[in-house]
Amino acid sequence: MKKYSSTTKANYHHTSHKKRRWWFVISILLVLTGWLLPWFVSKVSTIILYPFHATTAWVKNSDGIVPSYLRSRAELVSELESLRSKVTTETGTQLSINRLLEENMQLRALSNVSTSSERLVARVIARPNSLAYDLMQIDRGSEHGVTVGVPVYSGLDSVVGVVVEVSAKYSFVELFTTPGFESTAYIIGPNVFSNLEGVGGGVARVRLPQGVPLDVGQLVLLPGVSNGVYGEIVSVENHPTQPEQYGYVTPPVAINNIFYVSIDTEAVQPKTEYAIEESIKNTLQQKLLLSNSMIDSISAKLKIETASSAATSTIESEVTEISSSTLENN
Amino acid sequence: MLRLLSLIIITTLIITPLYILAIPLGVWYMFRFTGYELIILAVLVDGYFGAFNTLPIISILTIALVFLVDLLKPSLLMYTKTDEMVS
Repeated sequence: MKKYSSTTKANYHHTSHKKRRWWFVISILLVLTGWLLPWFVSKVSTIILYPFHATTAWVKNSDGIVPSYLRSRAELVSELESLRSKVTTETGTQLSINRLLEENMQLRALSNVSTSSERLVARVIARPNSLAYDLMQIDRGSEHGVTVGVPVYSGLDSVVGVVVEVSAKYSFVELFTTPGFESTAYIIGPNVFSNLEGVGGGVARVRLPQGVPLDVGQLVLLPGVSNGVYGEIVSVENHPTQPEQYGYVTPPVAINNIFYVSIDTEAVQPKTEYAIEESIKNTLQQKLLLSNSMIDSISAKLKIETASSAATSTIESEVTEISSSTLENN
Repeated sequence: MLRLLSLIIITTLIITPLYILAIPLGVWYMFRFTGYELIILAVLVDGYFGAFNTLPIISILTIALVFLVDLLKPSLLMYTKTDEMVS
C-alpha cells in the first residue's frame, strides 16, 4: 500500500509570499471595514448567515415534527441520565411540574408588564455560556420594534441589560455583567451612588470607599433606567488595609435561568438629576408599600398567633388554679 | 466539494453554537486546505454578533491562527527519507 505521495519536499507547493501578503491586506481591510462601518458588516452578515441562523433557530425553537423529535430525543437522553442518578421517576415529574409552573409564572408576570408599560415579550434563544461573547440572544428584532439601546428586563423591574445589536428577527443584549460594561448605580442602605462595573459570569460589582456601610442584601438600583432595579449585593470584599471595598451584585434570577424577557419600546435616554431623584424616591416608596395579599397573610398569621397565645395563657391559669386548690385541700 | 462541505459545517457549528466541534474542525481545515476563507467567515460571524462595536475577538484570533498555521504547515508535514511527503 502506498503510504506517501509523489509530492516531495522540493516540489511541495507552498503558499506564495505574494498570495499571503494579499490575504493579509484583505484581512486587515475586512477588520477595518467592520470597525468603521459596523452596521454595513452587520447587514451583510445577517443576509449571508441567515440560512444558518434560520436552520439553527428552526431546530431549537420550531414546533415542527422533525425539530420536536430531535429536541425531544435530546431531552429524553438527558432526562434518562438525570433519572438514573435520581432513581425515582417521581422526581422527574415533579421537576417538570416545577419547571412548567415557573415558566407559567414568568409569562404571567411578563404579560402583566407588557400591558402596563408597553413592553415586548421575547424568548431567550442563547445565553452567554453558549455564545462567543458575553451576550444574550433574543428572538425579537427590528421587525417587532426592537431598537438599539432599549433596556431588557427580567420580570417586573429587574433590568438585565441593553440591546446592542438588532437584526430583523433577532437581537443581542449586552448584559450589565459583561466585562467592561459600566453604569451608575444607587445602593439602598448606605444611600450612595457608585459605578456598577461588569466582571462577567453573571456578576457585577460596585466600588465604594472604606467606611461606607456596605452589606449583603442591600438593593442596587440603576436610576438611569426607569424602574431599573438591578439586583442585590450578595458578597462584600473588604480588606481594611485597602482604600476601597467591593460589593458583588447579581440579578435576582440567574442569567441561565432566564427563559423570557421583556423589552422596553423606548431606548434609554440621558436623565436629568431631578428625574433620577424622583426615580429613586419612587422605588424607595414602593419598597415601603406592602401588597394586599401580603397584608392579609400577615394579619392572618397575627390572628393565629394571638389566638394560640390566649389559649396557652388560659390553660396555664387553669393549671395554676387546679394546683392551688389541690394544695389547699392537702 | 469536501472544502465547501467542511466550510458549511464549520459555519453551522459556529452559529449553533458548538465550539467544541467547530474549533478542532477549523484547525483541521486550516491544515488540510489553506483556510483563508475562514477569515471572511470570522468577520461575518463577528458582524452577526455585533462584535465590531467592541473588539472582534473571533476575527483577530482567526487571522492570527490562519497565518500561523500557514507558516508552520511545511514544518509539520511528514516526509520519507527520500523527501517524499507522507499522505
